[in-house]
Amino acid sequence: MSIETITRKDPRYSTLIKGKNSRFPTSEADAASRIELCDDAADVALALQRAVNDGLRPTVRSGGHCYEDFVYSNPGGVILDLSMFTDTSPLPGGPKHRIAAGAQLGGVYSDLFKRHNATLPGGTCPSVAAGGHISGGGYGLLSRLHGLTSDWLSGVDILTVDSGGKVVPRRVDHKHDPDLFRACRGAGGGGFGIITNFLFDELPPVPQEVITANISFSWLDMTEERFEAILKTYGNYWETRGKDPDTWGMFTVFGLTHRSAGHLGISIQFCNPDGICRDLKVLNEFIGLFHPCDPVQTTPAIAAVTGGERAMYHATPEGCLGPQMMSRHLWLDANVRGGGGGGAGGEQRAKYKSSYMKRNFSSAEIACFYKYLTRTVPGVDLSRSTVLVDSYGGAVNKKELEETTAVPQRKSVMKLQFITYWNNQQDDAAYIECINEFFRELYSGPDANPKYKETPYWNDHYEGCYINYPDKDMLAYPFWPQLYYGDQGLVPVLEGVKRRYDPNNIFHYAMSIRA
Amino acid sequence: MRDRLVWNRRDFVRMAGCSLVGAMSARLAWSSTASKENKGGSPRFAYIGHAAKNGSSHEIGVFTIDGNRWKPTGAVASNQPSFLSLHTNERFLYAVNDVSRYNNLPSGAVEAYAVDSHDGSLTLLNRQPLSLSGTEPRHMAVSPDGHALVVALHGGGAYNVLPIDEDGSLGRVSGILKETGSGPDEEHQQAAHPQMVMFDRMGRLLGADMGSDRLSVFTVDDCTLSLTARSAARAGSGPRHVELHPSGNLVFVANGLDASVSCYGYDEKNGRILEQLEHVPTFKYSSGEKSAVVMAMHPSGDFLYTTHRSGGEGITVWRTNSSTGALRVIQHERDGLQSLHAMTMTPDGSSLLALSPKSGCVVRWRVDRGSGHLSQPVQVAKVPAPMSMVVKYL
Repeated sequence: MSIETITRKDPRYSTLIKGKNSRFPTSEADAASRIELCDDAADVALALQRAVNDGLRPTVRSGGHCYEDFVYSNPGGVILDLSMFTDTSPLPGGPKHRIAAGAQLGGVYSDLFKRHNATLPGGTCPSVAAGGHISGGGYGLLSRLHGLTSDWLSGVDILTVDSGGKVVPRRVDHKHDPDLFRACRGAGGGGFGIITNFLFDELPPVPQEVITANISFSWLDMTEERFEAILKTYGNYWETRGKDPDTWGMFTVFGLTHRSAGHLGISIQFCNPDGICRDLKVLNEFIGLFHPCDPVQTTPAIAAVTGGERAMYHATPEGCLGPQMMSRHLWLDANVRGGGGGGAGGEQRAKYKSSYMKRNFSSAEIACFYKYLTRTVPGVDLSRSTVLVDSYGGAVNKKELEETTAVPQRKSVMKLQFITYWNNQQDDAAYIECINEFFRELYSGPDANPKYKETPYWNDHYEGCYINYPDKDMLAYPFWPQLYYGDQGLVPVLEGVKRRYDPNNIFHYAMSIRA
Repeated sequence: MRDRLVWNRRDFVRMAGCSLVGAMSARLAWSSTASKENKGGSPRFAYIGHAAKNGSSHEIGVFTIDGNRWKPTGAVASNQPSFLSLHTNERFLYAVNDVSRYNNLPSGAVEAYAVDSHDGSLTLLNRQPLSLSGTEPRHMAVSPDGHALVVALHGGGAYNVLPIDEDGSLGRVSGILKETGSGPDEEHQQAAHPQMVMFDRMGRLLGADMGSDRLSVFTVDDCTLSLTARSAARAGSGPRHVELHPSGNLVFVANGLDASVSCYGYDEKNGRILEQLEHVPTFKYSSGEKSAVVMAMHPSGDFLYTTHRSGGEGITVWRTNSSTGALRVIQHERDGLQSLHAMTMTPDGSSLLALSPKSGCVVRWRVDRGSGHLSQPVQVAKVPAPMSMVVKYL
């Protein structure tokens, strides 16, 4: 145990002060003055106490993937870096499973598999770490089968700061500080305290094997009619047949890429609910729905969807298992590859948005998608702009979880992530405006409530936005907390937790809960 | 005298009626006590933060001063300017925007204005957001060298430092010091709430924190803030306002929560607040509502003036003992004035000025230089719901 303090004079500073999104920190003046690299929970407590004593603002990093500037815009403050605190061995006397906040998902899956043949229904990007992922309600390819990562939590170790400025270590669960525990199950991303360990009494078993497949469509001969037919087919499946438990082992990502990317396609991971791939009826039925839409035969690698926390793996197909390209993998091979992660994310700049959908796309929405995916903007390369439409629901949509977690979105069948990437700082405004314009128009249509225009505010069509895909543009709307946490009473609960456990608002960022 | 205030019941009702124009919740604020050296006793212009005529937004009103007559000569739009401060050279004016949200983020802001030396008019130079979560700025002070502005953030529980450029405009926040702490008053002391900052003659900064019952001394260096010393005030007292005795050896503290005044020894050389020498209640309040106190120090150091915000008790005049810090009441000025604040003494000690938000006016008392006693108050200007005031002498 020893804290490594990185100050501006340290040659590592310029690398470690950055995150995966090269936009942050926005300027040198926005950057933290030091980074405290912590090895364990005791280090974190000490580094936190030092920051509070010095009157400096602490922000927290585990994997460094935050989509907004919540960690890196910290002028003169301190970044507490937990990325080297990666332990996954159970704590003495603790529950069966422990995941330290800095543990990256790739390693977590591998470790849990080896230790217990268990897994976490988390995301696919191997360098995303537990700290931000689980606390914000992280999900992934197994979530339709097993729910959200935070749904499985039985406790967390968290450091809070009391009114007098003293760091207080807490183990919170259903019986101890249950209100704080609930907040950590979906709204706990660094806004109440610093979570050091995630604890689980049990975790779901690892599927023995999975099948990955993709369905690709060419933009070259795409028409608006066919585009609509494809999206309606996709959305209809998840609104109807996708609710049946025998389909819950199938997870799909429809990458609605811009026309300049050449193709758009659906990536699929499939297993039967018991974690094997004996009966492919559900998979073939799903793929068969798209035959009338003229999918093209491509190698899956070309159509692989990448970006953000989504990167579904496709190896060279070993054989044709059906009408479309498929390949069979051991689950671990399909989900844990390379990707050491950590450190800065290169030159890539990005902006993200999100929405939850309870129903199929409407014709108006599809027309808007088509308009923005086929338009050209001078000086802007939209080939790296995508809307990823994830299948959702299944085990996530157990109503009782609404009351015990801080993820109220329990009726959606699709979850959308809007992404645009670029490389140069001088292009920031142009790219950000492109994605904003698209989002505003999409959610000003007939499916949106006019009172909450420009947003996917909760109604019979939408369930707001996802806090792990945070979007500071939503701050322009006074109802932004409700967009993320619903309007059925969770926001006041979270505000109460904030007042009780962080009375000095030590842990804050642009979209943290305000008391 | 036509505009002398003899505060009988009829006058009070009349004045209260005027103030309804801008009925709003004015928060406690005090006038700047900008460097008083080299300033004569003749005020030239006054600036008053107040509700705009339509009651929905705010203005900083400009007044030309001619004896007891304050003539309004203009106004600029502002947002909750609950505290105003002049630069040491009086060519620039700063206003806090006492808000919790600015540019869709949780913070307040500060405005910089150029002051026209001939007609006193204001021109906005720029507006800077305060640090993230730096909400509800309530007070500020310009460093004696004129290069830095320090802001006390009531809501944010922190202090911010902003560099002042040569042209008077403000740079972005360059120093943030976050406070923690609480006190026994559950309603007001769940967290730190810095209320006031002032520089001593050595250039150190004193801060009063109502939330944590704490007085602090800071060093401002290169537009950053570091802690020099802390001193715990009486639990639950809620320090709101500090005034230094001209000798530099005593610091008087007006306490907002228990309505009291304290005096501490002050080691100006080392920047340390010493032991408490005096602690006296200002009044027993008759109703349940607690009162906050504002304060002004006579430049002679012989008299201290404190007031209640509610209850109509008016002003208490105290004689100070410059050796022991003891306070003795020598006058109760009780002319029916309500909820006075932004109290300020002219640098020559001849007049005391204050705002009456409920009555919607600025009032002035003449101060007897020998006895410290106050005359009857005079209304010098009518202003809807005034919240802050600063007077320009140069």
